[in-house]
Amino acid sequence: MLSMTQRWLALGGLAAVVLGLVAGVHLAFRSPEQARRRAAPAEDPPLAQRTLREPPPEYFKSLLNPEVVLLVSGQLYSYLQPCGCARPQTGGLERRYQLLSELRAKGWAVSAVDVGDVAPKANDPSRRLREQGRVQFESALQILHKMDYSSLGLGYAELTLPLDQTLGFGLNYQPPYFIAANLGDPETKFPEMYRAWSLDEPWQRVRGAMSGLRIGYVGIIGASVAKKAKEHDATLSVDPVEPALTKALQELAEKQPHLQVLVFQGTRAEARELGPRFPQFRLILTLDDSDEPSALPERLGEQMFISTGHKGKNVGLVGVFKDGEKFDLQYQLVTLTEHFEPAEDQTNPAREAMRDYVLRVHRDNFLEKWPRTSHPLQLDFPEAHYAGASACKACHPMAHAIWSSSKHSKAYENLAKYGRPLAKKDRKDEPPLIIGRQFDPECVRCHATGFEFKTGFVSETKTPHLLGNQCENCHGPASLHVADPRNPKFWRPLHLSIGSFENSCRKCHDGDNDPNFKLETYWPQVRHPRD
Amino acid sequence: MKMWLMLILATILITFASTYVWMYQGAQALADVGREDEFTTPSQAQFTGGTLEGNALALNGGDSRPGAESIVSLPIKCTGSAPLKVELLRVSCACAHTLLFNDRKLELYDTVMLQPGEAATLQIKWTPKDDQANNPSYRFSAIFLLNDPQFSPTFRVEVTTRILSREGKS
Repeated sequence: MLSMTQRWLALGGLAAVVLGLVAGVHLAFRSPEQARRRAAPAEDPPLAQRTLREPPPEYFKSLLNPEVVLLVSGQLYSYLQPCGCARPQTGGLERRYQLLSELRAKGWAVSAVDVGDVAPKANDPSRRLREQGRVQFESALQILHKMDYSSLGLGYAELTLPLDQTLGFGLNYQPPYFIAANLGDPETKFPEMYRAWSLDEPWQRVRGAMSGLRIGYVGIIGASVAKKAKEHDATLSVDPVEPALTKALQELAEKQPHLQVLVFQGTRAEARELGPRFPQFRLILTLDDSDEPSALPERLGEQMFISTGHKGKNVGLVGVFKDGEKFDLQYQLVTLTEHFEPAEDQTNPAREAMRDYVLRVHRDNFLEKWPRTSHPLQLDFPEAHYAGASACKACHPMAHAIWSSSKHSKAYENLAKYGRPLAKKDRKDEPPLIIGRQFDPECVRCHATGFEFKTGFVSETKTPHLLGNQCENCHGPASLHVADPRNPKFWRPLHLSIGSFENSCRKCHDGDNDPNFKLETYWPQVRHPRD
Repeated sequence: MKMWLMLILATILITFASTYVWMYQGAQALADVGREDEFTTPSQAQFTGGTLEGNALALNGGDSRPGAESIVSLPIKCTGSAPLKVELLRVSCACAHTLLFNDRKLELYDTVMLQPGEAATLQIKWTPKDDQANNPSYRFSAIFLLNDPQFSPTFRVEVTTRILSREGKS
């Protein structure tokens, strides 16, 4: 007979066997999908690897080598770097240079052309410092020159700058040549500074090849852009489109181009009307209504219309293929993804020009030159100023603790590490100054407190209490509340309602800077009690 | 006592065997994933609706309004003899918050399969924000990886919509 202890042990053993059997059967006969999940790594691969999961593009697959490839861009608005801060980003001139190098490495003759609007948008609130905009514009032209661009349209963004300045910058970096067949110069103020058309012979840039297709580009300012530009500058002289085009085509015909391209600074609708009257143009480049371009070209008869979106995130490639006596055009849109990012230890002329730009932004002290306005709260309380997060800590310790451990508190110091920082040393015995993007006002506006407003962040040395993205960026300048905490007149305006704070977030986490921003994901990371 | 020992031993043995099977199956699945990446069986996708050219398909998203959800559908059929693999790589706008593949919500880098002859519907739902209002031509896209060589290396579905003002606002 088994003793009581033995019985219990036997019962326990039996239960273990049953459990083991159940678990064993369950594990052994799981579905392959479950097994696959188990086999997958416990954590997601880093974002860098995931974003690079997108394979690189294949250029004109299944077709033979093109006679010539046209690289088409436009509406850069001086976004020199990939657009935005949070990954995955697209665009950037370094990447564009890399793409161009890839195409040229194939032995292809590439002719690069830009529709225009390289300069910053005149009314972009995030790029309020015109002086910085001009430096960006000049840097962009310098990089396009290094890329062997052939031609450049004149857009509204250029026409809203003083014309002598725009064309003067262009003159310094020719080619590309500004082309605008209907831009008048009655007083001959701008000799040789722009052209009606230009001719590109891309094969001349391919070693050993002295002949090949000649591409003729004609630039035109459309009626809608001309009207807007004249509203901005009444002295601007823009001639009617059709006579100017006819004349330019006559002049260009003497050079016997194989392919004629219209660089049209106007809408697609305007181009659709104009195109059929000038069938000589096989390709018509237009402005894009949308930030994001279509990968599908529009075709009307023999003519192809394309546009490449805004901010340099995409470029268009037009392959010119010989089809008997004619030419067949194939279009491909290429998004400048991280695939085109040069490696950390590599450089290219665009990257070098960007280093110069970053140094210049620091040297010219744009941070302190940024025009500041009153915060809406300062309109009601002009004496209100930014107090800094440390002033909030005594009464709101919980909220302060949550903020301190959030990425918002480190927003400024992270800027210093961003974009391959440079070490600048003025004196031997001093430690080098690390220059990331912390001196660039366009970046700092979202990485420091109250930057765009009076009494807000000015610089690391002048306003060290406002580094990072602090409480007052959402709540407003709080000095009056700090001085008189219980007065509802001062705390009520700082209170945020659920409906209003999303817009606060979106000022920085916008579609460009943070394309995958979702409030429901981010809010729990910064949610805090009132204390 | 002997019986008790035997029961313990049996438990250990069964646990060991089931763990072995579990690990083996996991390793096999991992190897399969690797093989799938190396060798992609050619398949064929057929789309109904939209305008298709090259590696891109354009859909008309009609009119939409801030704060209101809009939806566009794209029927897909696997017309090849091998299964069609569809992987979502990128969506260009956070406004496109939901992609459904036959009612299954697709997250980034999710993969779904269609067996030969099988059909499915891809649904894209988006809700414009207020700062996108009054845009006559707003475009966004979703980029996929398909194992149909016709659409390699990536396939792009783009949606163009006219964004009106928020309901009730002029």
